Amino acid sequence: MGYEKLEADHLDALKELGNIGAGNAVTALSSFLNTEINMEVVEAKLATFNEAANIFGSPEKEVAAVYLSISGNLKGHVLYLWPVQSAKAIAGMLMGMNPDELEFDEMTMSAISEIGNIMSGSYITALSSFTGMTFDISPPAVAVDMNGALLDGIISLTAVGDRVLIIQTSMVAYGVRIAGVLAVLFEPDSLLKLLESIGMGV
Amino acid sequence: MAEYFCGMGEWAVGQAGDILCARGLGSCLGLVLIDNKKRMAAMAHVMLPSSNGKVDMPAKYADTAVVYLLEQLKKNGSSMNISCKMAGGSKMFNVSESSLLDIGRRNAEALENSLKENGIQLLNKDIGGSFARTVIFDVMKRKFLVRTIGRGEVEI
Repeated sequence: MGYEKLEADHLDALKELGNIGAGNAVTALSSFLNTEINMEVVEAKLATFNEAANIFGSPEKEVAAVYLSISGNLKGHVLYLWPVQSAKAIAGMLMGMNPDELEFDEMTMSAISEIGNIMSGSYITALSSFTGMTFDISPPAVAVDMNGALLDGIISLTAVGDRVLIIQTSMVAYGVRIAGVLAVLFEPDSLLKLLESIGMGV
Repeated sequence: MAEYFCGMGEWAVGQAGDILCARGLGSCLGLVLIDNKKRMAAMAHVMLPSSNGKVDMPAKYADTAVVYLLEQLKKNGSSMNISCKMAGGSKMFNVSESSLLDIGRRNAEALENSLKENGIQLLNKDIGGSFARTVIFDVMKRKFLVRTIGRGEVEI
């Protein structure tokens, strides 16, 4: 499949899927942390590699990420990224600790991983019930390192030509100034199946 | 005198005074072909092991990047007495059941095979692990730096 066949309608449909997933994820996190999380922007876009790898500016920018792989009917990748200060803030909230005193030790990483797991899990569950497709999700894996490096393997595996299709949600918890981006990328054949499942075959 | 940033799947040729770099490498590889006689080098930011016959972005694939960079060096008047260095190919996430699992390792193997096929000496490499790298090559000094977060900067 070539992405040149994707039209605005397809992108709108994927954006709507993103809305459904992200809505569910935000609700799950809000109730888990007992705070108000706002969903900012959901986008479904055909991005160049470098647009996709530079979500937070430079590919060298240090970010925290939780990764889950989707297998089963569909193959895809869910990555939840936070700038390090936001990651510490959200982990601090869960651990009841001052974020400025947190290091990325085992406990902090485990808190970040749990939050990523809850959000990504509820996102994918919503997609699954909407599309009627089965998504098997892996356990979460967590890492703190350069933005570009955390994304490059996923971009490589989902690229068609020099583009990737990325369904991206920015989330902000205003009171505590936490900003994060949830990125979902499907492998090309799976994207086609996903569109078919909602009556939008290419 | 210029600094060239090779994004994913991109490449560049540099002369004396130029800096070539590829930033934020995870499973990707930064490959530099070095002219042993002239102050000239070419870099590619390689993403995948095999092109499967695709010709759209030769620097993107391990099996086409080497030949393509050699062609570019030749066009720029290289002595064609070439050696090389490379870094990257890590596994950023500790996963057991994803297609991400061994992409970095496969990239590095494919690139080493391609270098061997083309008779190019691999002077040094810094591959694998589970951390990000940025590679910077100073063409004048023939200096290849690998920069990381938390592990400092090393010359290989």
